[in-house]
Amino acid sequence: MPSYFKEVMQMTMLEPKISSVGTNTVRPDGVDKVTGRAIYGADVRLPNMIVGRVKRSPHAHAIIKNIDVSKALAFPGVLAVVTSDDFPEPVEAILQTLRGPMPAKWDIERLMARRKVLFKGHPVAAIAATDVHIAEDALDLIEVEYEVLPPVVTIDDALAPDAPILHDDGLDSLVEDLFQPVDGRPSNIARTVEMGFGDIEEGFSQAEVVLERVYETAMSHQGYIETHNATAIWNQDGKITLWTSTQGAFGIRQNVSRVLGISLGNLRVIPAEIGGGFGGKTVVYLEPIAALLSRKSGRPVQVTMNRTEVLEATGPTSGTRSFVKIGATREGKLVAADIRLEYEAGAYPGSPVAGGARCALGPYVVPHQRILGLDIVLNRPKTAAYRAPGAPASEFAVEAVMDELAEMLDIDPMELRDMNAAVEGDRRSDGATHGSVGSREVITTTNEHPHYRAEITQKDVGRGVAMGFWQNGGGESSAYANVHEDGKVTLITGSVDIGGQRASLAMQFADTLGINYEDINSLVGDTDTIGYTGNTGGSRTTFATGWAVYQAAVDVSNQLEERISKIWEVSVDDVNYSPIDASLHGPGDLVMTFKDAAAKLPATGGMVQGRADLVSTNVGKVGACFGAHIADVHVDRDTGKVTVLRYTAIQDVGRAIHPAYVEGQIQGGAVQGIGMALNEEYVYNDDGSMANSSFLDYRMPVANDLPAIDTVLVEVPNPGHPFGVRGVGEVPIVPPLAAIANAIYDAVGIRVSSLPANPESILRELAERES
Amino acid sequence: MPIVHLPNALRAFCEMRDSVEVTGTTLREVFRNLEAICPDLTTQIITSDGLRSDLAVAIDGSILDSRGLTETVDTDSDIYLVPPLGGG
Repeated sequence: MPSYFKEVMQMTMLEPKISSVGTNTVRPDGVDKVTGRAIYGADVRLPNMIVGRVKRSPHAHAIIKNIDVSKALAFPGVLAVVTSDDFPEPVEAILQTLRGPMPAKWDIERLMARRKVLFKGHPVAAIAATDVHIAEDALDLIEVEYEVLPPVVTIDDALAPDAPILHDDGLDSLVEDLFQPVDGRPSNIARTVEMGFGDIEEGFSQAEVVLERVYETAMSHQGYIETHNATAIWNQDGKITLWTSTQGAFGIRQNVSRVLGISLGNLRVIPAEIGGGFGGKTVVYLEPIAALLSRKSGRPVQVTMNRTEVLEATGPTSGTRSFVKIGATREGKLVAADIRLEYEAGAYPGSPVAGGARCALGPYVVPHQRILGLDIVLNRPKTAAYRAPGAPASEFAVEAVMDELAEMLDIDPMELRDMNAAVEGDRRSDGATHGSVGSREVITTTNEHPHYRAEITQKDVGRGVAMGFWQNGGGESSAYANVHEDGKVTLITGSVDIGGQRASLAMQFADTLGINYEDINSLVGDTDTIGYTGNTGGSRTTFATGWAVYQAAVDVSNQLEERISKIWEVSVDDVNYSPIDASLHGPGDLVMTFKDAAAKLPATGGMVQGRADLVSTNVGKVGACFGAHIADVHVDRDTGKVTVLRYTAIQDVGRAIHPAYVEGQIQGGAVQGIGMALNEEYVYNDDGSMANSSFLDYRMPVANDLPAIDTVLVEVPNPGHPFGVRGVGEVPIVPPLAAIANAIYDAVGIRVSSLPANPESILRELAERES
Repeated sequence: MPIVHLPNALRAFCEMRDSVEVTGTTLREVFRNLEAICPDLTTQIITSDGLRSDLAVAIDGSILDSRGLTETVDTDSDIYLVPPLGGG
């Protein structure tokens, strides 16, 4: 038995008298945030700080013939100008990533264009000036001469036989290998993803019904409220300090170190409070630019983006096209699936098509399956992670087919899902098998939920249901816990707090020792004050950093046992810390509380720090997550407007450490998924410019668009975690797309195959159906 | 013979093959023998500290909890290398 299971079993036997896990504690950062005292990246103020702004390409696809910055540099108040010439040549020509080898130059060219611009908004230069007005005026003085090229805006544009090739400059074997040649000619298809098992022909030969459909989703943005920002000071001793809004300070440090060619030890990244990320703040945009402007000007520099820059030049999720063919028996048993996924990568390879491929059939057992994913470059911003990256689109396609299949076979939609549900031991598309999962419990709860069984009586109102699956993440985390002599603890972790992690981690620490949650001051460290910790993302933090916190607490208890054994003059083996009463127990009646023991630490060798460095949780411990959503919608036949009337999200959450935060994650994910289903999309002009690059025109759902999102927390504890935690943040964005589309069909009889289902498309579909 | 199934990202290091039959009774032996077939591939899987920490290995469907190369492998085992998924 692996050692961690022993630890887990021990933990489950020791229930503390004082327990915060499972309660809705007050968040440590709450008061500062609601009173405006919290320091976000753009709130950072340093002596003599100046302002940076970025000059961006007005063209989606063009060759840069010349950049003249002389007039801008001569402008009074301008202290520095940076172009791609200021970035060092990469040390290694090729980066080895688990997505495969990538040219290192792309790391820099994405930040600051060199030979070509590949999307509107692509940075070409940056200015630092004494105030923002001077900086913005001076941007207009930078003269850039372009040779404009035809833009590649859609997947069809990119795959056309005569398509302009974005990365035509390589002509070296690496770029040739990256892009799949088509008919002996370079293409815009960057590597494929293939997975599956069984015999696809044999599978379809067993099928009595086969459905073959095509689905599309639109490029959409995470829509975090806080825009990107970076503040840098490059000291004369060569050391750089960076403040930024990020989901992971260590990832930013790694990337900035690489593109600037400086050592990790000379770079300190301090994560500020963060106003939303959802995957989009795992990427470097402004940080190296701010650093270079600081080096050139000799002053601290702060660079911020406005909303248009965020929409045009950061990382949305892919627009997609999915070809799905699924075969089943007349009884409803799935026998084969053949799926082709085409995902927009943006200007450089790296769409989330692998995530889409791995999750598409996640909720189901399909004995014969083949999934092919294409990563397609076009003249749009390079995509980035967005909540369950890749999964909403591919699972929308499968869940829409499941709904149609249920109708065709006259089987209740949830019953069809139940009879095909993947459970523990069933094979996943990536070759691994499901561990302990709560899929069956989610399906049963959904089936029995009053919403699912409620009668619909209104005209043009329909109900849809859909499942969602996400594998969840593990990775590396660190935690330090400083015990003070008054019994209070300062808990430092490396996980940026986006969804209440300071609270949920302190709660796990408190319960491991049986102490009060209120006695813990929970902080987020920076790259110089805490050990390496991966991003807050992938639904990993409460799980993986929870593991680190648990181990740091165990380390504290071990050290307390050793210290107090000296006071009691007994063997350390005879002293045991119990979280049940938060006390140390020795031979006979010897008992000492945590607080009393803490008070004695100064006299027994000084204060204690519990540590857990680089706790690595691999996917074997991670508990995958399933959810099911039920949506009721009304479709207005005159306007095409779809209104969500009632919405329920049911999800296996492992064990909810802080139930209100878990509910918030589910509600937030559902709303983002509803946005993808009904409203959100990048609208492009023919010249490759975005037509709706503001929140006035990029329509995200807001509170008065939606009913209350009801949540049901199904708790199937993850055996790979001391508290049974599963990541909960990703999966709720997955089901809404199909749940809404299936509800629209139920309401007015049109099968929506292209999202968003905005009024224009609904009216078009209704008109086609009537004609 | 055990079969090592390769994700797309690693196929470039093994003549674009999607799987390789390799002898071995432990993971260490399998990967050592794999090196003879595809010399550049093994360094993508194993570092001096053992299995690469950002790569999961599943033997017959079960993902290893530890990073040990001493894990036993049956003659008909399927070994899948599973890259991490980036999260949001």
